Amino acid sequence: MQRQRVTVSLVIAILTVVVTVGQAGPAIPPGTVRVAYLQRILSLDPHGSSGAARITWIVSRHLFNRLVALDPETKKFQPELALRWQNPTPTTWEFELRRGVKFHDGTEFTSAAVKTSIERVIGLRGPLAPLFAPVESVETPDPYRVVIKTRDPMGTLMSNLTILSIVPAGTPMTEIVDRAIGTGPFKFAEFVRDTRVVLDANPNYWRQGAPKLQRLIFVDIPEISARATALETGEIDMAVGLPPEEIKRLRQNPALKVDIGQTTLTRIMWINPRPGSPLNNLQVRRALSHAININAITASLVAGIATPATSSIATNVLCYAKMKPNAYSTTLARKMLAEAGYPNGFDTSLKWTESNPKEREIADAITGQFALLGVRVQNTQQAFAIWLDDLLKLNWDLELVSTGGGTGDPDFTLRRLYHSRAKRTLYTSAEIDRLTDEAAATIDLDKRCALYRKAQEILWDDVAAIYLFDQLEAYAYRTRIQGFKAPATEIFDLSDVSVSP
Amino acid sequence: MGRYLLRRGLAALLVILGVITIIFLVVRVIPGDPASVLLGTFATPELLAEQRAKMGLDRPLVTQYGLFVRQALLGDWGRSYHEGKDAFPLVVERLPATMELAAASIVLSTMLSFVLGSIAARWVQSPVDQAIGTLSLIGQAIPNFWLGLVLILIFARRLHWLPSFGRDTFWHLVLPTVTLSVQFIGVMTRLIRAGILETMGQDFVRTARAKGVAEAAVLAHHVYRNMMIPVITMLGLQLGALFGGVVVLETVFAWPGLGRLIVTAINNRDYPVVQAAVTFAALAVVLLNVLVDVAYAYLDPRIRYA
Repeated sequence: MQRQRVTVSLVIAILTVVVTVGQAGPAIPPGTVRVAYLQRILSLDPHGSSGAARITWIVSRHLFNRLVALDPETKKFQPELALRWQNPTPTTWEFELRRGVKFHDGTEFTSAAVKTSIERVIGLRGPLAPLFAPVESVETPDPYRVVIKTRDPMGTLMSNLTILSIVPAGTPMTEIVDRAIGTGPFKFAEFVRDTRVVLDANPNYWRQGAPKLQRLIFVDIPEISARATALETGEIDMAVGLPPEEIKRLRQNPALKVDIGQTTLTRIMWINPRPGSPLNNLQVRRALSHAININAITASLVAGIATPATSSIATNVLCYAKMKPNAYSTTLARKMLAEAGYPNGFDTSLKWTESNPKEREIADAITGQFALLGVRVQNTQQAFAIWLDDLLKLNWDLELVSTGGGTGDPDFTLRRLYHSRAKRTLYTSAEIDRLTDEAAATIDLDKRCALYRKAQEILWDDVAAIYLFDQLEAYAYRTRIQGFKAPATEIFDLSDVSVSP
Repeated sequence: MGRYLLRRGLAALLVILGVITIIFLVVRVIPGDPASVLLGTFATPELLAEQRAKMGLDRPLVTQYGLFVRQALLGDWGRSYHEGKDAFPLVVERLPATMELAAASIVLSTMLSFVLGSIAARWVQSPVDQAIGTLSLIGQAIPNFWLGLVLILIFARRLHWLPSFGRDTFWHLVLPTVTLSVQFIGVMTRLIRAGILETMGQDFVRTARAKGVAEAAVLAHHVYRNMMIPVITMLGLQLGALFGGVVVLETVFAWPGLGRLIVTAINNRDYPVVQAAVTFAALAVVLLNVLVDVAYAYLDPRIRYA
């Protein structure tokens, strides 16, 4: 009897401990949204080594402000921390700053913060540094006025400023990984590496009515299917970047909603025209551009998250110009290949890495479609580090890559990647060099766009790459999230969404 | 015993030095450039050269190795290229999560293996024994990342009983622990069953029974203790495999432990973190093996390391 009583007490004690420990997790306060993205958060420093990662930009959009923002619909720059601007000379830009804005630590936002931010992004020598290399000086004539002087006329300055997060004056010139002070709608609360970044609402935010949430948590879930599961079980409220099959399934769930937004990204297959290689022959490249059934790929493999590409830049990048699509015709492609002197095809290789959804399936489809022409493709998946190493060393024939993004400016893609100085592919064109250099040094947007249109035509005609599709972004979220509108670029902002209890 | 421990300690030091050297060379031999991974597709030749110099990768390999060993001996394992923190504290920071998972798995699998192994041995050749034998084989054969995904689908997605990812509450520990334990249970159950059967036939067991010792006491004091040597050996051997399993499962369950750190560091070619983490793991395995040897002496008084 005594023994039984001891056993029962022991079982009760164990159960109590288990239940208590089980409930000891972090309680989710009301007004919280938990979102999972497809990239890991490495650092919260917007200027450092992770400064070009999409997830850094997304988190930064909530922690910091920029001087100006680009309205993707009107393609006009909008005031953010700068109220007005002018460029009295082609190398001088003056900005009048917003008054009464406070950083999360209570210090006031002044022109000194802008000077620190620009000098910091250049000085840290991270991936964003080249964007601001033409800046000669940043002057602060008074606390609410900034004058940026550039060495040469810099047509990209306004676009580049849309990705420059403003940090407090005097922020050290060393990378700040897990402490971030900005003027944004949310302030930093916690960073548990590989687990979550927690941001709390900034009650003193300068924009009235924002943020509507109390807390925003970026949750780190590396597995795609685990992200979808966590959304279904209610462990997270939003998952971004899910593949088509998950989207299709989640759409059936009445507790969830899926919105599709545009991005500034284009998925392409780069062609490396090595001297002596069949790919150096323009007729061969044109033949290949007719051999890929892009409509079939976008209708099946990446259904719902892609639209066929119509230029070397995505439709919502500044100065986008629509090109005439290359009709899919194996017969035509075979004929062109024969005319180019390759009636029996040739051997080549295609390299790719799994950093984008459905890359394997797309590589397989292209390999199969090229086989119909007799082009024998060695289809090679590589680990990211090896793929990148080969890419930069030009050790490839064909490469699947995603280009664009960033500032939403054509310079970000056309000059950064196709200028002969960039050495990203052996494709070079003196005309592309001239056009992109001239456009980068032109302030007037209409004039720039005319130059970029020509550059887009040349790249399309020369088949520097086969432009496959513009990427779309899927936002799957629980219906308790209200007021979410899929953004026009891949960088989303949740400061205007709210949650129902 | 003292001399034995000293000898083992020196041997362990040699093993660690070997591991350090091998890992130093291996991370540098595999293709991929830490500087280009850091800068991504934004890399320009000038920025790449600057980064490589900042990382010290522009120096000759021998110089790099000499510096690395000297700094490591002084306790400085370098700074992570990506995480902006010193490598060793990063590893130490992740240790509790991995230890928690490993300890839970060892406890669960040892307990279950003893229960299942004892049942199978008690009713040897019965359908229960055969069922346990079959389940053990299946358990050994199932790849644990696949099992993890299936368990998530059933218990998190379909039944909503358990959380699918993360490490916040006791319940978060359940699925990764079970997943990690299944293979271990498979191996140990078979071993324990065989050990019990072999020991049961020994003279001292017959003597104990003849003296009228209760069956439970025979098992506890005579059978289990005498069959522990191979079990402890297997436990020691399996610990290495357990660490291997953790590396994969931490990604499946978004468990923020050492395994995920190592996977990410290898993918990013973050040499200081890989070096610190692998050395730490090697150190742990070596220490555990020393503990296993010490446990031999405790379990079997005939074993003395003079």
